[in-house]
Amino acid sequence: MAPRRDGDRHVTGSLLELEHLGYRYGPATGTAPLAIEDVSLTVPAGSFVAIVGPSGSGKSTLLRLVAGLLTPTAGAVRIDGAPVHGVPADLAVVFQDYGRSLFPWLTVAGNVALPLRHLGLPAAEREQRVRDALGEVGLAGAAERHPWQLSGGMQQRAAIARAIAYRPRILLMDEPFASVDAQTRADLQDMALAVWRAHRSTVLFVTHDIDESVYLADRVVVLSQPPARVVAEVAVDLPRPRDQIETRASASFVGLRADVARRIHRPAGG
Amino acid sequence: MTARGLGLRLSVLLGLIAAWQVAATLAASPALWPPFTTVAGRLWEAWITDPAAWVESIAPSLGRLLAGWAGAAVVGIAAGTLIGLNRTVRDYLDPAMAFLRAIPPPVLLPLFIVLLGIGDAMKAALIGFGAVWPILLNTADGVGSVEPLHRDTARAFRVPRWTVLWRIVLPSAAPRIFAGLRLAMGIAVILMVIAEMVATLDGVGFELVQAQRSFRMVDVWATILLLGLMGYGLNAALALVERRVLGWHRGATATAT
Amino acid sequence: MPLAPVARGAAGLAALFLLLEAITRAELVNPVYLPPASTVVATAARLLLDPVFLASVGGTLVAWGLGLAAAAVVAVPLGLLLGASRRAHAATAAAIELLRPIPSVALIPLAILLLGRGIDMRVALVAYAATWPLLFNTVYGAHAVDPVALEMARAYGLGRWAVARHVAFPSALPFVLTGLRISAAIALILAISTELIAGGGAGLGTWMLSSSQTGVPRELLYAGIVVAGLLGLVIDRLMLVAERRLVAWHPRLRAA
Repeated sequence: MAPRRDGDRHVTGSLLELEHLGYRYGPATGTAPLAIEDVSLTVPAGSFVAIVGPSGSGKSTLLRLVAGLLTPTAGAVRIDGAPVHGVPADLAVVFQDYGRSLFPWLTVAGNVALPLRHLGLPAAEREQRVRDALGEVGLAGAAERHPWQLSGGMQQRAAIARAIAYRPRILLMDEPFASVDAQTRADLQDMALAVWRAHRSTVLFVTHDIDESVYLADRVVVLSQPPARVVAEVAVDLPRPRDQIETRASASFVGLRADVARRIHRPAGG
Repeated sequence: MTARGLGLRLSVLLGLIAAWQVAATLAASPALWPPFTTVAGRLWEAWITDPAAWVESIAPSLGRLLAGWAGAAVVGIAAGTLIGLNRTVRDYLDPAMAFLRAIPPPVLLPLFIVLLGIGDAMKAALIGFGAVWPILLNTADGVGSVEPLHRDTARAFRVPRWTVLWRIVLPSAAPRIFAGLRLAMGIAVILMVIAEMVATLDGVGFELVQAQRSFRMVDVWATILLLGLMGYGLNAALALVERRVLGWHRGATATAT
Repeated sequence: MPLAPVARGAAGLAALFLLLEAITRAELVNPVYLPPASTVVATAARLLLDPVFLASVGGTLVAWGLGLAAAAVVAVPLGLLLGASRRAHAATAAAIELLRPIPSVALIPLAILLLGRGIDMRVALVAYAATWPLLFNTVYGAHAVDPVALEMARAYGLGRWAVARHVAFPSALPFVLTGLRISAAIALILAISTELIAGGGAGLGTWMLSSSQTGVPRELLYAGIVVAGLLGLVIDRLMLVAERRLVAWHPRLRAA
């Protein structure tokens, strides 16, 4: 099958901007370790941006700043040009640790429905959204089961269903596939791409896996050793839809992967 | 439980009863050590099959016990939640609570009699005072140790505070809260018996003291067995509720190894 | 400026006292029956110097200590045994389940008839009540022994006794001490309850019983309550300190 470009994906201005973002642990004035030095980044609406960096480089901290779970000690996060304080609306997070982000006392459907309770939706629409989201991630049959009755991969699908049922404009994913086996990871990656295409959402995806970042993203942002700075931004012009075997075997994939890897390991001017 | 395990338990139980029977018969002083059959017979006719005993003694006792325990549950869970969620409140209340908790509840009997008379309110209050502490402390611990990622998840989806409390904080503290409720039940039974032995004109504890004062040894034994059965029944009922409410917890802890 | 936790705690205690003082000063209840909190605290301070009262407290503490010690002698070895042996556990489970729900205070009348009203009756009841928390915590602790540590000990050829002494007991110790602290509180409740119901002999409960029967002054009675609370508090704190010292190495405490 011939690869096809997504001609219908128009990049219309930047939805999400990080402006000289900095974060220091502990009191802002002290000599506490600096986690993030200076990160500026624009994420256009509808794009899939991956952030890679060495472990401990503050990737997850960066994502928590964007999610509003942490307050930056310098700089700002903007959505549609307006600075964000606290947790922005229209944003959902998928955490790495699905085992602890799903609520064990709720069923899978209950987990997906919980964030919808305060959106003021009619009950019928809420149920419809839950059904649709679970169907989309292939968990239609597991709605009434509890998270701990599912495999790791299925639990992460449930967490993704919870995020898409919320219909966020921005989907943040914090190393979501780091704790599952390789085959499951490949399946989940393709599912993430399918979800992104179907919902035309904007994804900011943190990972330490270079292959994963290149395979998924339009653009890969490489962070330095801590304290984090942006070392490079690599545009990924691989055709879509991508394929686990074809795409990964292509020469351009191999070249991009090497490019990103070089910038992670030899950040100083490459 | 396996059938073999059950068989072992039953045979041990029967063995104990047989030993009681034989020892009591050999001792041949039925005034002090009545045989099991005599005691069981008295338990059956004077308590279990006597409607008057249910209406005049068991019902009032259970009523006081459950009123005190339920009051302790409401106060303990509410106050425990407040203390568990708010470090400052906890700092203010900790020493005062440590002192109140350390008072052995029976010494409060004279005070409660002055304040509330010798009626049911006094007994329920005494039971509630003793039973509230394990519930309160367990709730505070459970509420204070909610998985941080659960909190983050709730915040990221902008779940309102009230929903977080009802749907996330309290369910995740529920195993600890139930542990507190179970401990409180044991204390409540003890305090019910004390309160009825010291100041009352009805109830199982009252009947027990009456039997002792008139040297009706068989009745003393039978009433003790009755109280044991009541304690067992209350525990079993609570365990049943707990299994229903905390089904997810047993499953979740069984899978997480 | 935020207050230190200790200052907050002191403020909380002071607030409790002022609240009680206000309630008692408002004279909602006849002050003959409910004297002001300050009077009660002053009386309690005086009581702590009263030899008759101190002898009563001593009497309670003797029954408490002997009963608790007897419970420990029985419950700890039994708990280790039940925790180590599946068969022993299964065999005794029914008996334990039968005995446990019997509220210890219900045995007071029986004990009076069988043992009289002397110290041995009190000690027996205190011991009975104190046995359960100790037993269950010890069994739990013995179950919690790391199987890897046990296998390692066996691999190095340690005998049964050595394993129990050097591996099982130290691992279970924190749980044993927690059980001891819970038992200490229950033992105090039982010691005082026994005195309240059976009377006779020197004890805090007996003392309260007689001062409540002589009527006024009531503040004596309430001062007794304050002292009983302090006694419970001191016992609990001492146990806690001992617990921390003895098992400072244990991960359960280090984590906390």
